Amino acid sequence: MSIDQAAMVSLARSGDREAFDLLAATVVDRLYAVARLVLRDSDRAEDAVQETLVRCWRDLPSLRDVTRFDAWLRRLLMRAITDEFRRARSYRASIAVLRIEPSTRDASADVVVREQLDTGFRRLSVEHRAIVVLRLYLGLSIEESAVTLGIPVGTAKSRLHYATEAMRLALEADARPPAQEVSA
Amino acid sequence: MNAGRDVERLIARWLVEESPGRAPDRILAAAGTTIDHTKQRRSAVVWRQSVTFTLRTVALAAVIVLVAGGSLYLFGRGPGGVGSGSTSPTAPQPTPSPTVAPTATPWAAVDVPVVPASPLPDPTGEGLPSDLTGRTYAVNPPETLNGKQLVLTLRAADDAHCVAMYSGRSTCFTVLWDPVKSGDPGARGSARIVDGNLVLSMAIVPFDLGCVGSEATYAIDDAGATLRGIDPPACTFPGFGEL
Repeated sequence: MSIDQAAMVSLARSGDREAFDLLAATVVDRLYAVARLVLRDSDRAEDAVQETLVRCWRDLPSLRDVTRFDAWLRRLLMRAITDEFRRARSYRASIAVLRIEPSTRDASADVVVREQLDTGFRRLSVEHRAIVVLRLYLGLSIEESAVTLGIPVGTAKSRLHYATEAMRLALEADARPPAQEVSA
Repeated sequence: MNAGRDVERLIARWLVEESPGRAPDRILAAAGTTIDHTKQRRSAVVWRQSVTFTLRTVALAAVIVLVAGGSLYLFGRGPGGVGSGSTSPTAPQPTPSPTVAPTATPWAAVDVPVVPASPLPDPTGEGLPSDLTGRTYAVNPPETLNGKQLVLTLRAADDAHCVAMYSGRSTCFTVLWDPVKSGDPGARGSARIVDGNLVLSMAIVPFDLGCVGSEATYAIDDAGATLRGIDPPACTFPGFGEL
């Protein structure tokens, strides 16, 4: 955390709205990226980030150590993402439609792999998606990821292992020839 | 093992490629609109921490001091009263002045009894039993700062602090830094028994007015050695352990 950001957090914590707006502008892209990756849905990600920012403003006075702002904010984001994911799941169940967002990238030579990864990732629970994004996208340590998610380190390791294994299996399954050809 | 690493690298690269570059501007706009109508939750943390006076605070305090000059003069005359400079919990001298304003008080001495700006309502429940009064507790989990710790003291109705706040009508509590932290008046209010539990009501919290009126309920465990919070609100503490 930079000194500037620490100062902004400190001012925002004491109710300085201008400082909070500046702070929000510096973090919103990162929040949105994480939310978009976990939720795989732009609208839901926007809602989750909005909710995170509102909760951040509301609860910022409870943050004791401004140098822990990033970790604290990540926890807020993860809670908002989880809430949004559950809302989305019940919504989908009620209308029985699963909205699939197109990938943000154009087709290329490895488009098949990307689709396999996308499919495998969508099959994961939000908890497993979260650990994958925290660890492999944000580059947090397994300990930091565990703290962010409020789970024991062992659980974080287990979830990461399960998630990567599930995605590996998704890749392998799609790479294998159709079953009837093998058995013929 | 290597296959696992390869998959992780593949996923990591895919996530980077999939990540959106920028968040839509409407996120900040929409959040800002909601925040316009959202108050910050003020917790006791504010006064637990070192009191840092920003220039803005100092300027505001200067204005208040000027405006309230006459009142401050009155405060200074009351022996043992707020602003007297004494740091010992001497017998209270509830001054007749009804104008004690927590926000304008220059809390130089913080462990003296404090007379509320206006009479406090009679709290509900029963007074503390005698085996609880006089006991001191550390905040649990501990709150420490530069060798000081936050300490809860449960006080009998005839304790100077309780007399100052409730004219002896109620048992009460203080939460103060030990050793005393100059300028930090801590929190205080009534301490009562409701349905067998200890209820602390925040009556005077000068550095966090948003907490005034909040209540926290604690189960009394281990013959009073442990006070375990029962869903305590943000303004209060999860629990206390006897010192």
